[in-house]
Amino acid sequence: MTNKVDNRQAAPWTEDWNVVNRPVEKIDSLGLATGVPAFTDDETFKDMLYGAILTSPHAHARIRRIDVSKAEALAGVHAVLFHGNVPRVPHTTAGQSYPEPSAYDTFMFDNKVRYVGDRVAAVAAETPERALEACRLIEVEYEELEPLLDPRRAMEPGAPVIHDEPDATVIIPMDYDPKRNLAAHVDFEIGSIEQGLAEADVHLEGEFETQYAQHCPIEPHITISYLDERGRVVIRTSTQVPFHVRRIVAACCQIPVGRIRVIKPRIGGGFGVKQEILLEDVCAMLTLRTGRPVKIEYSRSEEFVSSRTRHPSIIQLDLGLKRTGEMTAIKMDVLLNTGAYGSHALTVGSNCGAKVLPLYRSPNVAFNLNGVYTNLPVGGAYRGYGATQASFPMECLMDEAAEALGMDPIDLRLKNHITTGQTSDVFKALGEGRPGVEMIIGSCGLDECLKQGADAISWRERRGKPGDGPIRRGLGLAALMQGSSIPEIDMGAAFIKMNEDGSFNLLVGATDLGTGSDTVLAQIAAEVLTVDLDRIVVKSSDTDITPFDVGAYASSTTYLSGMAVKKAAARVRRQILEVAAKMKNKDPDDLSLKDGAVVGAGIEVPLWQVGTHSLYKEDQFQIAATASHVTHKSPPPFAAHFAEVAVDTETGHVQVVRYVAAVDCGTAINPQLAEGQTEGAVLNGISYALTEQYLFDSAGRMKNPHFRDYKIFSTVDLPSIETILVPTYEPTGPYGAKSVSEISINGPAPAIANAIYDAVGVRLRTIPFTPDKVLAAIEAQRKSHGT
Amino acid sequence: MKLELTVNGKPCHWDIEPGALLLDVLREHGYTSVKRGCGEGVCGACTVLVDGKRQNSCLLLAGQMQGRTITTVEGLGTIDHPHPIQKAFVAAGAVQCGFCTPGMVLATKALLDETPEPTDEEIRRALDGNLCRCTGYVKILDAVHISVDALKTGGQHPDQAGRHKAHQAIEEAMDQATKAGDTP
Amino acid sequence: MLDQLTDFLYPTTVEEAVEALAKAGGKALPLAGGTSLALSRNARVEVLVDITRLGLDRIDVDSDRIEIQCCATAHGITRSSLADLPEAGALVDAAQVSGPSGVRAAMTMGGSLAQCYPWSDPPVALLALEAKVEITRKTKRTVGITKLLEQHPSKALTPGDLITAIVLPRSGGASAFLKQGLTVTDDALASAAVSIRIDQGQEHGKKSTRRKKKAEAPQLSHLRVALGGLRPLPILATGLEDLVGRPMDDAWYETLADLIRSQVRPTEDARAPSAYRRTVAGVLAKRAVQKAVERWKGEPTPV
Ligand SMILES: Cc1cc2nc3c(=O)[nH]c(=O)nc-3n(C[C@H](O)[C@H](O)[C@H](O)COP(=O)(O)OP(=O)(O)OC[C@H]3O[C@@H](n4cnc5c(N)ncnc54)[C@H](O)[C@@H]3O)c2cc1C
Ligand code: FES
Ligand code: FES
Repeated sequence: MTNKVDNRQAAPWTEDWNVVNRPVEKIDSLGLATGVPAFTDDETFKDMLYGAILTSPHAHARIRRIDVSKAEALAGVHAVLFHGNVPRVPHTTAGQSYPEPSAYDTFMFDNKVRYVGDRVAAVAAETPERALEACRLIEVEYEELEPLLDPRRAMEPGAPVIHDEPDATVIIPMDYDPKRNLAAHVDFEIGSIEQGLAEADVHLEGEFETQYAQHCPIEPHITISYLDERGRVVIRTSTQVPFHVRRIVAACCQIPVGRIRVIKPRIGGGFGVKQEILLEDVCAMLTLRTGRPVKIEYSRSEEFVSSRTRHPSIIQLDLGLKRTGEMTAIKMDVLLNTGAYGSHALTVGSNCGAKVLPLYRSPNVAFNLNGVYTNLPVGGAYRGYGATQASFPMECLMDEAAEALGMDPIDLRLKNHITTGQTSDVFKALGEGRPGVEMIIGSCGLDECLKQGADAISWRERRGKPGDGPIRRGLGLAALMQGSSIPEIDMGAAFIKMNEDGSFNLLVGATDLGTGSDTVLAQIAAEVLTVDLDRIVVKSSDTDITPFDVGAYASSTTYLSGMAVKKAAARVRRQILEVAAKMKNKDPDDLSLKDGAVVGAGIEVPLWQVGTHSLYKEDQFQIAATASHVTHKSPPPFAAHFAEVAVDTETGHVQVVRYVAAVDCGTAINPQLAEGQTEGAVLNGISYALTEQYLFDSAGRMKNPHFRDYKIFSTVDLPSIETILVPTYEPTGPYGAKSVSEISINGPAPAIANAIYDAVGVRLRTIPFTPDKVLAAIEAQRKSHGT
Repeated sequence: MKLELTVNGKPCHWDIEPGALLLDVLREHGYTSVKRGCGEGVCGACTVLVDGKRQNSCLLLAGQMQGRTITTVEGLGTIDHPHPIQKAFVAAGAVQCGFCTPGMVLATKALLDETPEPTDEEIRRALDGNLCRCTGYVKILDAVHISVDALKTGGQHPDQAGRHKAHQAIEEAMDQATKAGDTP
Repeated sequence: MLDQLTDFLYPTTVEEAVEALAKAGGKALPLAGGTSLALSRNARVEVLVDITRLGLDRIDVDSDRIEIQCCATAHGITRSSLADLPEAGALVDAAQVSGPSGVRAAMTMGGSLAQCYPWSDPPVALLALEAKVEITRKTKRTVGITKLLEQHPSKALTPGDLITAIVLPRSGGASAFLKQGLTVTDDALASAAVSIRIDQGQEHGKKSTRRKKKAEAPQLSHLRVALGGLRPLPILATGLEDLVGRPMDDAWYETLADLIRSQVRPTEDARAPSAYRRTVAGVLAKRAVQKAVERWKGEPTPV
């Protein structure tokens, strides 16, 4: 059991950390602030061609005829790809571990288009303008089919079948029924809901809706591919999952994995949308066809329409509670709209349950997920990953429950939430495409989060005092949990080697997409090796150079890859001690590392001497080690979020005035970065709750694919955000760490909804809370109260 | 057509397409710190200084730059000799993915050149055209406050003096605004 | 892309600029901030005449008029002496929220007016402020803003016309502008600009005890309300005469809001229902008057 060894190793370092748990500067930030070329597009390649993708104007159509001859004949055009001239390989664009729990329902190109923005053909040409011109010259005859735009209709008999192709399939045992537009299904019942509800003194229920939203990384997707000197394909791409890119591109282009190299430069944000293989397969194919470097990038509007989104959901939730506040039943029914392809449908849908239901103890729990196809944009991984969707109904109904019971919402949570030493049957029931892994909670700081957050926002003093006048104030809260990595599926690996000056190269497959994971992982290595941070030279995510890692998702980097780094560093440490022992004729067991030197048994050998000795003096060898890590748990971070809002009762405008996020992420390896993750997630969550949404016309076309009319918040919209890091110690994490990056996007929607209720007494069950919607609700309430 | 301008102190004579955007022309000439986030004038990733004033280079035709002086973030400081504002962004933890950072730094520079001691309100307005999806802006506002202090003391970085100033100021402003019934 | 564009001209005097525009006929356009032109797909324009080097970016406040030259930017307006002038408050408010800061730094008042969009902000303020627009070709002419906005200004301007200045009469009153979008600098779903003068009996900024009561419910001697974000062009509210000279109590404000609501019929906007935008137009007008009154009283208001 590798885990046990780690726990034992962790113990000696829990005190007196030098690098870990300190707000050291992010190692790449000065370079980025001075504008050094670091991103995918900051390097130029000789003779590069520009790729462009022709997309579908129809939501649902069969391509009856496609003629690319005019495009091919255009001067400066070097390749045109369409379904007639590329291999037909069913795959998923979801960058998940093999075998992926997402349907293989996607093809590089197909003779059918399934949403407005779906791929039809691609061109590589000498200039971007020429490539676009060639796209316009491609003649396509579509046979329009009835589009399916309403997820509620998806499984009705007679609904249009979106994946009628015979080769759409799944590669793991899962409920998949494309004839009924069913992309994913899971259900379970623990105990008896019927009985649980019968025992309940109060029964609350409601249907909640969450919308399409986009990640909006400021850098849209971009890929450049070229051939190296041996004719291998090199893919330089803005991705969170370089190793999955390599595997999926190999399959789509039908070349061996060994003939592909994926390089991840700096990434201009991802938030999940770059956990998807969207441009890489086409770009690589164009390079293979032309032998030339090819670049494809999404414009902002393509990023909205053709990349990935947060799966919209319709969630029916039932809660049963005793008068004492004890919960007797939780029943959640999720209808998840996965759009035209089933990317992440099963896992996002499962996580609606897996990351929300276990938060509260209940003997009777039921969950039902239907992930359905529609002819709308495609869902994908998005920070929060299902927990965002399902926290909204759960935390709103908990607020209603507290009201019904006459309890303070904080007390209701304190009474019911899961905590250290406890388990939930849900962990076992819901995994990612297979049954889950049993887990006992090893650390939980939620009580403390609730208490400190409540104090910070003056919960008891300010709640329930909306004031009079047109602008009313209100307070609301949400309690949250997430996970840290996917247990027994995710693997992260690290390689460390020592140089003669006592510096170290740390090679990790883990993918820093702006999160600061390079820094956090270097901190962990520096801590073990007792050196300053600048002695650790990090290289991440180049499939030719670094060891494997599943990539940056599922809140896994610090917890999972961090442990791989810690293990590798411990192995290197052991080798260092052995070399020093040999040099000085001592027993390595009597030696240890301290401040960059080997000490003990009356000796002190600086690391550079050890390094120099090992490489040049005698019995030369490279001090180096690789370690891999797989977890058996996915310890949840916990959080309590508090929002204070001002609701304008005449315009319906909701202004978040203050926001407090109290987060238990175990040990924050870098508190400044942990705060940064929290603040970024909170603001994203706030604009998701208030403004962000896709508007569609009746033909399924997105009407607002621009920053101009899809509004994300700027500095003038920003409330005061306060982050409180509540330290706990997670025994299975590196230095007690759990994850932090996802959880805080889940809080704003329910916390704001509850705050709106506190302010004006209306319950909103559909996100976003745009001013027109809020005003309509206030007016409806006025009418029903006859005032 | 011919274009003469000065970029980061260097006189440049470029041959450009008349309809070309400044953003594209700068990137083609190697000034890759100027980023395209939207190409619509909203995100500010393409910010440059033109004669000291902040501008979105995706909203400028290169031809408008005849005889003008442009500064990109490469011209402000280097890794070895960073500008105090660049150092402040690092110290505050205001750089996550860093894609918005060059624009943020330049917008800050333009603000502080014009208003060396801005109020928090002025800072937030000056940066409202620079979108950041990573940070939630909290540490970016901290960075501007740190920059103000650093520039006052001639580029010295006292400490993170700007921290929490920003929170307080926002709270007060929000309090006022919502009381006055003046939500946007 | 401006596909046919071949040349830029950089005149340094108005005469040169006007002549260059005249010479090229319909094939040349003045280029100011460029925030609209740079991304336009105008397939006709061959020559752009850069008018930012004519020295026309001043903002002058005289005793009888305020002159805003065409190339004054939105950012320039917010930093100018207008910011301290209650009567120009509407324009300063509008300039402060006319898009994101990078846009405000570039967009000019001339460009904003010439290329008026349904959601444009400064033109709404200018309409409330009874601006006069100075148009230069060989000779100068002045057109009232109400007239100019009867149709799209680009139609009122013939090729070769240059808006050189915008002149505001000194009103001695106060004005304010408010807009509703999803975010602070979002395109307006609805906006309102008001210009008011308060009854002579009540003097600007003074608060004697006798007048205090009156000052709390002042009376207007002038009220002009312009609305934006609702129709293709800014519109002037009508039928407000009865409100002038009446005590401004709660009922007064509700009457104003109702009058506004009853006369606007918003064109479709995917972002919000028309009924909502109509309701909000009334609220914004009411609150803009409140804000202007506060300004007039010399009380600090957040812009
Ligand atoms: C992302 C974004 C958001 C925006 N948001 C808003 C907003 O919320 N509110 C708002 O009000 N505006 C907003 N704008 C600005 C607005 O859309 C116009 O771009 C701007 O008003 C144009 O001004 P300009 O000086 O840049 O004009 P230019 O682009 O230089 O010119 C526009 C047109 O006007 C003509 N023109 C310019 N100057 C003159 C002159 N002096 N005489 C005659 N003709 C002239 C030009 O020939 C051209 O046809 C936004 C712009 C962008 C890009
Ligand atoms: S790229 Fe210029 S503002 Fe976004
Ligand atoms: S740091 Fe990533 S967008 Fe600002």
